Amino acid sequence: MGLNDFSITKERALPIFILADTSGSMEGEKIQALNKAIQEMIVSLRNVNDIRGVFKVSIITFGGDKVTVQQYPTDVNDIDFEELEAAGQTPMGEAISVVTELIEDREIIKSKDYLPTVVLISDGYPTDYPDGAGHSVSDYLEWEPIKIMQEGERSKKCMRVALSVDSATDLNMLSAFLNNGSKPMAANDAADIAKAFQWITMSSINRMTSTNPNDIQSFLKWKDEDEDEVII
Amino acid sequence: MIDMEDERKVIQFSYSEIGKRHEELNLGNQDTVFVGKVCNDTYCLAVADGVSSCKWAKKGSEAAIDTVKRLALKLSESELRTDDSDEIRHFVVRDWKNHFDDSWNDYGTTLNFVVWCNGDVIIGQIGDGLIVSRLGDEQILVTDMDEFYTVETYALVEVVLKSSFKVRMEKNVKNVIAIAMTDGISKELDLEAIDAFQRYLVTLVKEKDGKERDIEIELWMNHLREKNDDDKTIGLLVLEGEA
Repeated sequence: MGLNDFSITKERALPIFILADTSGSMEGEKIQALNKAIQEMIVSLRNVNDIRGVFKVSIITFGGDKVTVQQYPTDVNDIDFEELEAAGQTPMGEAISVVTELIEDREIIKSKDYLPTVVLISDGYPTDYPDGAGHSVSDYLEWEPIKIMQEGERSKKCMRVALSVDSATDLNMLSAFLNNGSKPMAANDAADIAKAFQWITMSSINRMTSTNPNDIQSFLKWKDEDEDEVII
Repeated sequence: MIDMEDERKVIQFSYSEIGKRHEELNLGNQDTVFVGKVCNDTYCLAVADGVSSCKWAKKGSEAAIDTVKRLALKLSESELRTDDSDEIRHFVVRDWKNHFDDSWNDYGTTLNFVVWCNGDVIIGQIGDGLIVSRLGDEQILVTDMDEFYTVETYALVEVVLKSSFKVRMEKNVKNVIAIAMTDGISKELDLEAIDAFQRYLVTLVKEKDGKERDIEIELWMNHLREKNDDDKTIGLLVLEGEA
């Protein structure tokens, strides 16, 4: 026995959650582009060497009338990606609730894991929002799924990225999801979707190869609104 | 090193090395450590990790250690109360800031400390790192690692939030085994094995001869150097017996 025996043996994970809109309007070129982009991201992450940790990818789809966890956070080397299909409505709020639950679950995301990245991709608006479409950012910030995510002890700290894949996307909803000073990315075609995912992939790789993968200041503007006494 | 002081058995040990990152940048080891007696019936263990992005991080960490020694002195002279955590917090922040004229954000540092003063123990932490203390029969672990994903590492800087400065006090403590370490070591430790780690380290320092101990520490550091490029610092203070 020696001091080395008291070190962590399991590698730290950098979890990446993909919340993918698989509603009917995504059918055709958009869903094909999304499938291809996710495949390429997985391949790129598998080919990264000399990192002190492991990428874990989770895919959560919202379409039809339900949210499906297609893939719980899984080592990128062990993922068997099944192509997504588009149909039905857009239960985006429920998807956000599901990802928040997963992030707050200490059995799924360990305390030693790095800050998760949550990527929301959509071409529309949340059909599970009570009063239809076209609301303000502040309205959406009061919506329970967003509120719970923004107030969750863990979920509020995640790196969030939002990608709009259509001009009809409700950008206010994506902005409320972000709520960190950054703007939703915009993809007008398949090439843009690919480019956006390349950015997400590279930023994840850069984080993992940096000296402090939890230092996401350059990507995330996070404002601590909690009142606290200051010691002068 | 085992000393006999004031009829108490005192074991004190510390180790600190520069990490690869600072070595390559020619910055020097930004960590500072102190373990030992401050005055009669008063001992302290303190480790500080200067924030790399701060221009004068090393001076900041040195000042933090000096402040802990001065805190220990004030407590022993009853100029500060050992049961007033707010008073302790205010003293630490103000005294640290008094080391510099201004631009405190250039001197940012984390701080982990344990002060034993005539049976009273004060444990304090700002920022990352880890303290594990056995006070009599009670084991106390102070770490930021339970706080999931600290986005920002707190530090002694111009503005210090009260909630970022943990202080714990215990009275009538006769025996202490305290270990404090900076993030370069603590983030690689399996917290579930922390009790066993504490026992092992005490035995290593107490019972192995200097050469054997140094070899084992070097092997351990080799192992940790593969895991991160940070500066690595650890201190151990053991107080046994009646005062």
